[in-house]
Amino acid sequence: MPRRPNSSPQTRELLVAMLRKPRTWHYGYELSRDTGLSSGTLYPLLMRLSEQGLLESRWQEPERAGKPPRHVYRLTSEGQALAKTVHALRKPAAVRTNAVEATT
Amino acid sequence: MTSHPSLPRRLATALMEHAAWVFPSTRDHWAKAMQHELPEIERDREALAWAGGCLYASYVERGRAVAVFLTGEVLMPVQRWKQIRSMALLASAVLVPAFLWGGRRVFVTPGAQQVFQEDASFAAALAALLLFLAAAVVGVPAVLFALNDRTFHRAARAGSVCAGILIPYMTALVTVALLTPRTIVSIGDSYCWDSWCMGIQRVSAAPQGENVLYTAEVRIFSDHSKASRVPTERARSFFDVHDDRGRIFPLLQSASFVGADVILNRGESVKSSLIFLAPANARELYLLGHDGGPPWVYLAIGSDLAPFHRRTLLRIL
Repeated sequence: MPRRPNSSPQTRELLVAMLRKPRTWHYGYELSRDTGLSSGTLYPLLMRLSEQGLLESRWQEPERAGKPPRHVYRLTSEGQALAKTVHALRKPAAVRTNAVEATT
Repeated sequence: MTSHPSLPRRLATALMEHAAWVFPSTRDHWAKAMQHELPEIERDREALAWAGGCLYASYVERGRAVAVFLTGEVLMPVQRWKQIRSMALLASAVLVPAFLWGGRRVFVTPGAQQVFQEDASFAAALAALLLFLAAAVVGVPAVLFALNDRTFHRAARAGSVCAGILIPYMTALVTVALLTPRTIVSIGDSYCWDSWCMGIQRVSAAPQGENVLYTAEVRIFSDHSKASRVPTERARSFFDVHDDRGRIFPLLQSASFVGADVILNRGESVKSSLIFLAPANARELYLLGHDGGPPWVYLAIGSDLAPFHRRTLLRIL
């Protein structure tokens, strides 16, 4: 059976980290620290999510002179929707059960 | 005053540069994105770990790019490959029986003081030389340069041009080799490899216990129309003695064998002798040339040393 796309724990971790501040632009290094993912894992994920239209990226001018511009990332609306789904699935079963009971 | 970066920092920078080089060109901005994070990492060890991760990612991406290329360029034309496979199977179905049939046929020379030539002509050797040079000087460097430039399409095109020339040539080479019967040169006749020739004139045998000491008197001469060098020194190491059971008997050092190459005019020859010891139960004995020369000798159509070509034997017994 083929694996569902974007279902790996690392992808979930990244999406959830970005969902905490959904409208903020994130640096790669900052995301690496927040998620604990190494650069070798993080960047292939960013590339893939960006190609799927779940992330948008742009170059940001440096805050201090003499530094190169940095690439920043944030979730698109589709990315946020996916991140919310992933976040909901990631919650412990008991919490989800209560949430379901509360809505009924 | 500027402080020099530490060794881990310099290493991290070097790794990042290498990673940026490895990244596929379509992902250049991602390579830059990773590279531009490096100055923001204050701790050197962390910077090194970051660079190591980026290097890993660059190779993963390069591998993916190559896989995509291969899928598109090599695996997609499955139908064409199927056709080639069918043709190869058909060719094998024809060539295998032909090889077996050719193996049964043996051309034995009459032994009437005649001279026989190797099947490869000068033109065949020249064609092989030109092909070898073209592959070595143009084909392989073109593919390597294209690979170094990461222009895989160009590398594939150069490779397919080379294959388009080499495959038909090698097919012709092997076909001729498979269909050519083995030549057995009888005592009295001579055989010419390239421009030098040798014939066994007489063989004498002297029993020595369970073995027999054989002395084959040979005549070496040139087939050139002008005076030319005859590699008599090489001739001595060129041969082994084989019997009908596949056993090999090395030639003994012969004091009477010509020790150095000689210049011979047409019609001139040198006489010498090859001495070896073989068991008394050996029924058939042959001289067999076992090494060649430059690589194109192996690629000449009709050459004794071509792949699958049955080597010419000089009968001793």
